Amino acid sequence: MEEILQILLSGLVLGLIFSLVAVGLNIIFGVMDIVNFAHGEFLMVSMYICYWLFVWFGLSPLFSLPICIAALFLLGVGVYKLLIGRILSAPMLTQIFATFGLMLFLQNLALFLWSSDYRTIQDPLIFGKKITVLDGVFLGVPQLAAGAGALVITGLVFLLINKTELGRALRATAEDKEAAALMGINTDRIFALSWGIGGACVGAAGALLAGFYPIFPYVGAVFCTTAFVVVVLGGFGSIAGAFFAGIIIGLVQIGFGSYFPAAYKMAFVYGIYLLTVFVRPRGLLGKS
Amino acid sequence: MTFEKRRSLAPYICLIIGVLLPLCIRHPLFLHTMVLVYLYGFMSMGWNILGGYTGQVSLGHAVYFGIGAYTSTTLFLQSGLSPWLGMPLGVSAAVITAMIISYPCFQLKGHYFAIATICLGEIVRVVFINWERVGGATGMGLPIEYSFSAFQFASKVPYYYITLFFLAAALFLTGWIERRRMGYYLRAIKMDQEAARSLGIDTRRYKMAAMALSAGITAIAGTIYAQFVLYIDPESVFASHVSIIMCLISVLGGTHSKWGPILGALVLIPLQESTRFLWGGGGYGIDLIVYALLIMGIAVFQPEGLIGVVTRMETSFKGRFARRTPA
Amino acid sequence: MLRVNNLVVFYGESPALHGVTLNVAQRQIVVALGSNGAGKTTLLKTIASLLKAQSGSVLFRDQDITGIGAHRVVSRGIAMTPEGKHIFGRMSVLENLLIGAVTRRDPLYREERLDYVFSLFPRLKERLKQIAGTLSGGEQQMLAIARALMSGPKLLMLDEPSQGIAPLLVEKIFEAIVSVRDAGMTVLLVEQHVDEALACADYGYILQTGRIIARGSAKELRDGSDMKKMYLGIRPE
Repeated sequence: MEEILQILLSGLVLGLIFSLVAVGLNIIFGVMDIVNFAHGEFLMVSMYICYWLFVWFGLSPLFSLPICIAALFLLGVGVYKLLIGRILSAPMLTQIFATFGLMLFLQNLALFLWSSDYRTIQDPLIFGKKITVLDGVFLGVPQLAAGAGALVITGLVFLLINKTELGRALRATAEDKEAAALMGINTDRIFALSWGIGGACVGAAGALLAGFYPIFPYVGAVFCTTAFVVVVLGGFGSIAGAFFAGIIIGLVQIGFGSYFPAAYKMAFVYGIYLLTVFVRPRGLLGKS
Repeated sequence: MTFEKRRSLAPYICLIIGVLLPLCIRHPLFLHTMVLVYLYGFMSMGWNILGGYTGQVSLGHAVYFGIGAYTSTTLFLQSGLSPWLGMPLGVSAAVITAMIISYPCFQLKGHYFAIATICLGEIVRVVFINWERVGGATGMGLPIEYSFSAFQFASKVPYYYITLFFLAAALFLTGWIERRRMGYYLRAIKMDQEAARSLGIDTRRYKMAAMALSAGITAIAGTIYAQFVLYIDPESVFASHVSIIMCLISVLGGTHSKWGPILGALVLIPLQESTRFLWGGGGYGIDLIVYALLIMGIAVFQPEGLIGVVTRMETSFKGRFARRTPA
Repeated sequence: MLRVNNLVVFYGESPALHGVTLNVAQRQIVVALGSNGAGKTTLLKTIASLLKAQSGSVLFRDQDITGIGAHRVVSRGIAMTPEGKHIFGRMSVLENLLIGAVTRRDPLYREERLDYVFSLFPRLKERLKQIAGTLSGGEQQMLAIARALMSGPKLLMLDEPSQGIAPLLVEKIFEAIVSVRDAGMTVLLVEQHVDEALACADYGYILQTGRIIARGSAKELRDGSDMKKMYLGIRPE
């Protein structure tokens, strides 16, 4: 019983992080029709920002959170302005490889600058501390903070997209770029903002994750492919879908990983992707 | 001689240069690099038939590369079958796998297809990591046995000519397809699948045909790779970077042209080898950083690939040529 | 009010407009007639700055607005409903209308515009919360026009508002267009339905393969049997 509760709890926390990463990916895809293959590397960049802020200034990842959000927002906008904005009308292959190139660039830059060492942030404020949920069921404080933070931020993004003027413009642009432009929406600005917001989401996820997860140049790869699966399972374009799918995948990963060899865990997640695209291509909550 | 006539001689001139090169430069490092250029150019050409000509972006071609490598190596180790015979068996295995995989996958479009191929590639990699009979995660080494039938040579020169032969064969095969009906169909599918179907093209059949060719070529490359390196494991033949390098080479060189992958390999492989040589163990990631910048630069400034630069030069030559020769 | 001078536009390699010159006077309904491929949609899209002109210029209220960007054109006071409606199908009717007023931040102004478009199309008020994609074809067209009117344009451009709509509703739409003009706005209309369009228009142009081949008051065009015959000759129906 305790074991199952423990798995549920850990799965939920990881799932909430997946959700946040996937929401960012989904906003960019929804608005631009471009899959950001460098999305995982955005996460990695955010985690390293946390790491160095901690090493240099002793700043706890919890306080680095706003800095990471701002930094990754700027990174997203920068990537749009310098790279993506110039290939809007290029064929899909070119767009895929542009973000692929970005992925390789960030990954190997990190490898070159900081080596492939695994690093952890041992923040005295929260590291290693636990709270007892029930007898025999624990939740680490960093995990608790990450889960709660991811939940709040995903909620805020949901409100931003669905309840604000900006969100309405984003959704209009996602649906019909030309019609949106005819309404007076500056679509170029919306594109840049979608990269900014997508980056900010993954920046937040990175800061939350950095408190308890190892930091290394390839850390993004795992989260990025998982985020693809989450986005597809939830339905391209649906924030709520990505939220629930993220939790499902988190639970599946932790649950599956507890009973089967870890090597099969990702294969199982990829299997979920294939099952989804073949059986229900629009995902759980996607719009047809 | 007209410009077109001279131009049609270009492939033969390249081939002759290719054949004569080892007679002039015998440095093993040079030959090693050229073998890799030809091998990667060859398999990227295979990728390009599906990814470039047909527009179905596969990011999981390592599956076929790995199957080619594993089939010939396993058969050699376990029943002493010459890799020369293992190669066609590997091709068959890869083509059959490709057919099974692609039948459902071809109903997916665009990014969905690309990501599905990533997932399949990773699943196959995990299967091989856990498949102890074929070496599991540690992989398999080929015992040294220099002979033609064992497909192993002490010198780099035989490898040089073998890879050059396959590259040339793939080039002529691609050129032949380009001119046949199939070439037009594939391009039609790439431009607009729905329109192609409405014109009566059996799009699935032609996509499957392109996939079979593509997987087969990639599997041959897998066998040659195994015989060249003499050691394979899931990380070196099934990993995603194998899938990615094929596409990167094609995209860098230009996916519209049969020459694109060769051009891409001629740029990327020496770059990779020289950064490795220059920085040794310390230069982790340098070659890939340069790659990445190249790829992004190509995407922004030269979306046709490097071949676009060549085409432009050709056009300007043609102009000069026409002015020089009175009509 | 709107002056289009010698506009040349290419679609890829082939020219879609070869030097079109056209005037739209204030408080008039001006109609551009022509068959498919005559360049009508290209004309509107170029005025709206969705397409780039190779040469020529677009002047609106004596200011050059050639190629300034679609969103800026809206702020200058030109709204357009694209061909085939293009409403935001996944959003509610109200959200569609609010998107139309994206250049107008003032909530009071928005209220005012909402009241105005509801007076024009009472049916939309009944469907306010409905998802726009579930409206009928005619209702979607009403929504598209209402949405364009939300920005309070001085010039309204309509690309084939009668396309694919039940005849009864076509009449309603043309009534609404007349009432828009009577409320002080100027309308540039592109149509294939000659009779209905000329019945409500003040002035007209006839386009053929990217050139203006005839112009005149609506009455002249209606009565000028030569022109009508020439035009009817190339009409697809």
